[in-house]
Amino acid sequence: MLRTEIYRMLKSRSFRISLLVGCSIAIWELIVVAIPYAYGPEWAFMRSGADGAYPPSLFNSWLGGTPFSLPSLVYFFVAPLLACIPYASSLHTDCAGGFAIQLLVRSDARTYLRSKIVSSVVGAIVAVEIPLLLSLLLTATVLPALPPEATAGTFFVSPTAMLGDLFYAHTWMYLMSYFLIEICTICAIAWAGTLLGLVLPNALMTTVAPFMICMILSVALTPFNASSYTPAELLNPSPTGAANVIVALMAYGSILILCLVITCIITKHIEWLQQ
Amino acid sequence: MSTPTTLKLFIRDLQVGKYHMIALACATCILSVFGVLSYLYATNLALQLMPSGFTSHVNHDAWSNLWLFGCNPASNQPDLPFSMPTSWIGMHLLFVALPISYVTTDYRRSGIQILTRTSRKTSWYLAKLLWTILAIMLALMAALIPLLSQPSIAEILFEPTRLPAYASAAILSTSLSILVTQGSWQLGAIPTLLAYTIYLGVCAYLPSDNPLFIGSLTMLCRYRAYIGEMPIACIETSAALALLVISTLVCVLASKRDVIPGPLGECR
Repeated sequence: MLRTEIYRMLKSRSFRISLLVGCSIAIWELIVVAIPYAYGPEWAFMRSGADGAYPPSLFNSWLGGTPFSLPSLVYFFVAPLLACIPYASSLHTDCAGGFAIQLLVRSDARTYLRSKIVSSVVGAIVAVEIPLLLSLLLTATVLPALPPEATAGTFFVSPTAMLGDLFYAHTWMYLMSYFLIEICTICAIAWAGTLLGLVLPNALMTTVAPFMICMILSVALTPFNASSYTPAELLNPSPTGAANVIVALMAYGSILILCLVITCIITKHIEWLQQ
Repeated sequence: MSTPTTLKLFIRDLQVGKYHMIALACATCILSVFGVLSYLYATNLALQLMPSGFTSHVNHDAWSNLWLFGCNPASNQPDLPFSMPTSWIGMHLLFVALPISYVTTDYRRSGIQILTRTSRKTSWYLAKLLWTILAIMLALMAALIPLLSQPSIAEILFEPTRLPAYASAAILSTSLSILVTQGSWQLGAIPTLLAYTIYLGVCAYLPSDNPLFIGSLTMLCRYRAYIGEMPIACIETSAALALLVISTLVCVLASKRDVIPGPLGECR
C-alpha cells in the first residue's frame, strides 16, 4: 500500500508542478545572486579581499543564506504551499471520489491512513528540500565554501540567532541540524494538511488551508514578539529572529503529537472515513 | 429543460453560496484585526529603533495596516530590511481562494448538470462572475471593520483625496482577484494560486514603477499622485476596467468551448 501511494504521489502532476516551481526559484537565486557574486564586476573588490573585505562564500549566497533576496523571500513564503501541493489533498480526493472505499476493501484502514500520511509527508519533504539542496549544489559550483566569519558582516545568521554559534563553529553541522528542523516543520504542515482534508469541502481548500494558517500565524504572532516561531521563519536557515530551538521543537512536536492522536481516532472510526 | 437566465442563476448563487461569502468576510475581518495589531506593534518598534530625528518617517496612520498598503510602517526607509507583507498578500489570496472554492463545489454539485443541459452556458459563468464581485466587495467592507476603532477614522473618511484613492485601489484589487479566479477555470486552481502568490510576493518586493506589476498599484504605502504624466487614480481605474473586460471575455470564451472546462479545482 505504501509503495502504491508513493508511486501515485511521484507520478502526480501536482508533485511535478511543486518541484518545478521550487527548482525554478533555486535557479533564479543562482542567476540573480550567486553568479553576480562569483563573476560580476561590481563584486570584484570583495572577491579580491580589498580593504579587508571578506570574499563571497557559498554560505551567504545560496537560497538559504540570503534571507533578503527576492528569490529567497518568495521561496520561504510559498514553502508551506509547495509542501501541501504534492499530496496533502489526496486523502480528501480519495474519500470524496469513493476511491478510498475501493482501497479499504483491499487493505485495513490503519495501513491505508499510514501510507497516505507517510506519502504526503515524503512528498512535502522532497518538494521543499530538493530545491534547497539544488541551490546549495549549484551555488557551490560557482563560489567557494569559505567558512563564515561573524565579524565579516556579510553573513545573515546572527550569532544570537537559533543555533547561531553552531553556524560559525561547524557550518555543515548547522545546515544538517537546520534541515532536520525544516523536516520536522514540513511534517507538521503536511500531516495537518492531510487531516484537514477530511473536514474541508474540496481539494483546493485542503491544499491552501495550511498555507493560510501559516500566514495567519505569522501575522498573529508578530504582536506577541513570537514571529521567529512561524513556519516561514523556521524553514529559513538564515532566520531573522532569535527563536529558542527547544521551544520551536516542542511547538511543532506537539502539533505532530496532536496529528498522531487525531489519526488514531480516525482509524478507530473507520465507518466515518468510508462515508 | 428551461434555459436559466443569468439573474436566476445569480440569485441561486446568493442562496447557495452564502456560507462561502460569510466565510470570506469573516476570514478577511480576522486577518484585518491581526493586521491592525501587527501594524501597531511594528509602529512602536520602529519608533523605538529610530533616532529621534527620524521618527517623522514612521507612518503613524493606522490605516496603513490595511490590506491596501501591505508594508511595514518604516518600509520606505531604504536601509531597513524588507519583510513580506503577509496581511496584504493574505487578503488578496483569500479573495481568490474562497471564490474558487465555492465555484468548484458548486460545479461539482449542480454546475455540471446545468452546463450539460442548457444551450446558454455563458449565463452560468456570468452568474459566478457577479457572485465573485459581490463576495469580494463584502469582504472589502469587512476588512474595514477593525479600523472603525481608530480615532482618526472621521478625518480619513471625510478627507477629499484619500477616500477616492482607497476606492480606486479597492476596485483594482477586486478586478485583479476576479481575473485570477476566472483564469483558474482555464489553467487549474492550484497552479494559478501558486503563480498568483509568487506574483504578489514579487509585487511587494519590487517598486511600483514597473507597470507590469499591477498588484503593487494597490499598495497605498507607495502611493504617488502620478506615474509619468498620468494621475494614478486614472491608471488604476483604467486597469480595473480592462481587467473586468478581460474577465468577462474569459467567461464567454469558457462557455464557447466544446469541452466543458469548469473550474479545475482538483489536481488529480
